[in-house]
Amino acid sequence: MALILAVFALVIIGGLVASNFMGGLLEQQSGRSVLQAVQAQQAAEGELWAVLPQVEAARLLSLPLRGPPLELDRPSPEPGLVVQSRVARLADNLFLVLSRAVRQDAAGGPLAIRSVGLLTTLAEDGSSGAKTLRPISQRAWLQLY
Amino acid sequence: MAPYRKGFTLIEIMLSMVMMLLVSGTIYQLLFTTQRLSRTQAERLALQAGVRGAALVVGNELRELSTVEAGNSTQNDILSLGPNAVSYRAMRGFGYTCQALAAGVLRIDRTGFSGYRDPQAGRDSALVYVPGLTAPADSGWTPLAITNVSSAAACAGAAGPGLTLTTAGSIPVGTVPAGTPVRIYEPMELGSYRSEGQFWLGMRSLSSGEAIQPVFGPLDETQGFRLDYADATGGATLIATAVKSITIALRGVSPAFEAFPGEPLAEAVTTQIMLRNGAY
Repeated sequence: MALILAVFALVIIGGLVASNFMGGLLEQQSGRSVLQAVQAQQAAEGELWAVLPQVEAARLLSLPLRGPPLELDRPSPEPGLVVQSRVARLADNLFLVLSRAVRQDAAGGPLAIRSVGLLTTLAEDGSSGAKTLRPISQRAWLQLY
Repeated sequence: MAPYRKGFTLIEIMLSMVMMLLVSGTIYQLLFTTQRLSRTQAERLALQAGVRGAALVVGNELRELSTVEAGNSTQNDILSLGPNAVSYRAMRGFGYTCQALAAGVLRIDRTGFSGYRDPQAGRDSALVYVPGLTAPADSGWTPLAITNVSSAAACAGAAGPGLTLTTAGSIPVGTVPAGTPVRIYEPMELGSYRSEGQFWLGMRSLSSGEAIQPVFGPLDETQGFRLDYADATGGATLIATAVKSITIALRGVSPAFEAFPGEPLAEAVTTQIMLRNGAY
């Protein structure tokens, strides 16, 4: 009888401890998901601005209007984070820069994906005279889905 | 001599009963405390996830807003502001036209469209980027109310799928060539409101006239939801056109938690967002 009672009490206590553990685990996962989403967002946004001065005007001007975009090979900012950038030409001097960041797990599966865009035009750099991409004056930044 | 009889004396039985009572009481107390702790943890977990999620939603809603110092109403996406509520143009999608059409009709390349959802007539409006059209106060973006949305017609040429928007206002024919950027937006209100004696964070579409929908709650009665606006110098401002960053403070409370009488379970998050389209 005492053994049964002891086993019963152990099962109850074990269940309570397990539920507490599960709660903590879920909390950790929820926090980690938010962190991964923020990392992906920051990587996508950072990439967007990093791309602007690095694309040569000649490559942009050779793009067909609303045709296939220019894919930019960019190094991964950190392990587990993949960023992809591309520039599409919408009009003669209007370019859409797109940046997509994927936070991956160890197996390469996506954990969080964020995409952002920037409407830009080619404008002369005041100091060097070279043409570089510049955001349009208003509502240039885009949250993409 | 009396025969040997198996059994317990009265004192032994009473002693064992007292010990059993003590052990049972301790076990009960342990179980009760653990259960209360478990409930507290579950409540706190739900509250933390809710506050965190609500802060993300609010941040995503406000991050893309455009403000221009001393700009006009077309240039500014903050329609009205206050410490507990804000009305604004919420961006819902982006695409570009795939062909030039008659005035009042826009056809967007479906494959290039990216949106939170598809445009809805009566609810959404379009901002069309045609620089030089409304000089000298030129934002480049002209707002047009959407009266009809159709995906029946394809884009000409490549024959890709199209999204045809009929608009209430129009831009002169010939000024919206293929490749013209089009933003889809919806006037929204976000703020705290009271319902059934409790405060909630809610949102509603101003154009559709819908009732406010809860996003998160219940909120703390005095510090539940607060918005602080800052200008380019970081100073506090209540001038909509000067806003460059917004600090969002959220404090949620657990609805019916009584583990600590007189002290409701509460979780708070404060986050600051820079307006990505706040022109200087």
